[in-house]
Amino acid sequence: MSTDLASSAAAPYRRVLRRSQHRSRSTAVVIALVALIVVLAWVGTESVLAVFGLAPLLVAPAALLHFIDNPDSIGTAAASALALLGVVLVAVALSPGRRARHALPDDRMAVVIDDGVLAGAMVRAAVRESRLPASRVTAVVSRRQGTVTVVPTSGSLVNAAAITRAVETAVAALDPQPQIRATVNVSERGVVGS
Amino acid sequence: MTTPDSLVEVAGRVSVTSRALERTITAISAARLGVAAGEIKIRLTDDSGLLSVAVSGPVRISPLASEGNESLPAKIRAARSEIRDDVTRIAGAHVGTVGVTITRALVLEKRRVG
Amino acid sequence: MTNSNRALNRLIIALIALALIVIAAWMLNRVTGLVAIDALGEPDKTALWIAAGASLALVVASISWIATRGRGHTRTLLAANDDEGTGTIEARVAADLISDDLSRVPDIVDVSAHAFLVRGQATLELTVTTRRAADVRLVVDSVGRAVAALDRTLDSRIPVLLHVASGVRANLAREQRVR
Repeated sequence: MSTDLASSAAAPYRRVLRRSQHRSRSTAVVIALVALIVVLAWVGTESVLAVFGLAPLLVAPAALLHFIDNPDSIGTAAASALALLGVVLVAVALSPGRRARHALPDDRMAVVIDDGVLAGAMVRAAVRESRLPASRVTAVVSRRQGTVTVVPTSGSLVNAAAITRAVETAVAALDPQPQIRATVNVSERGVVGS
Repeated sequence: MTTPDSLVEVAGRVSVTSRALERTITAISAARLGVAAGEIKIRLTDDSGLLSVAVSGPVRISPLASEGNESLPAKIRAARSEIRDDVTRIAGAHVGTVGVTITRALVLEKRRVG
Repeated sequence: MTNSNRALNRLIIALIALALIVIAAWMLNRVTGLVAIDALGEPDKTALWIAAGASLALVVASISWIATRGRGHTRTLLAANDDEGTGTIEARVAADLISDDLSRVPDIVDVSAHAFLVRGQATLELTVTTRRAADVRLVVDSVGRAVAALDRTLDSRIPVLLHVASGVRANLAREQRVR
């Protein structure tokens, strides 16, 4: 069972850990609101102009509503684009927004590391144990899983168990939260030459 | 005829132009913080008749790993007192509050032997 | 950034998305005639006033929400007040000191720092960029030692958030020989 590091950490760190592991969506909101402000400012202006019977800035409200009521081919295309944009924004709003990061326990600091860095630590351990060049070892880390892929040298045996132990030791030394299961896959195809 | 710098009458003893006063205090602060005068920014304001000095700039400091150093807040307090005393003595101004803001740390390099 | 702020951000984006979808659905419905609803027709004076008023209100609300973003960033890490005056230490000072201390760690490519306020308490966020396949344990321990030294230098334990990042540039670097 993985412990939620954020809840077990001291109070000032709890919020900071949560904040750094999730996107706040502030930039998206600012962009969306700026666009909204431009559109609303225009609509508001056109409405006021129309109330006083003045000439419209770009498109009069009546004409705009007519366009919405009777979309031609341009209108249909615009509607499809709007629908697509709407769906994308819904995804942005509803996604969990978890960053590809893990937290590390520490007494003094709140520590978060990018999953790429965690993967690098696994690669380092695997390279050290297998003595293969670093180009043959890759790793991918997801929320609860870290997978190392080793491409062996043709004719050379690879001790997968030893590599797995080395990787597990490296991961345990960091103790990432949420905990990850370390797996080592030895590729079936090797590369000739060292 | 008006002079470009306003004359600041201080304690009836010495008249110092505000520009010269700024330059003097800048030099004093730079010396006490161990940095070049160009790095220091000074803001002088009136504090109910007293001269209020706000200093902003880097500080020269030994590396984190060095042993037996006084803390930076203590250094700042010491520098602040020294600046206050120097300004009073050299410029003859009655100094009110002194604010020191450290913006950067210029870390002294360990010289390699040999 | 509080949790409620984040929730509101998501809500705002969701509402805007909803508005876009409703407009798109309306237009597409008019083309395909799936649902029988009367057309909007010409707007009367009341509708125009409502549109103008609502637009203004939403514009004001949007501007005020944008204005509240980015709060919490502060340059000041530590500040003290006494009868002699004030003493302030900016976040960059911590960055400079820690950066110098970590320069001996070859796996660390970059150190940057800024301070932000968490419930009124200045917190230092350190971003340490590492080389590809770096010794993460060593990096974190080194930063820990630097922070301990900083605690002594500042005579104060400031909350620290360490973010160990994989720089894009570090990843594009040529293959690192792991010693």
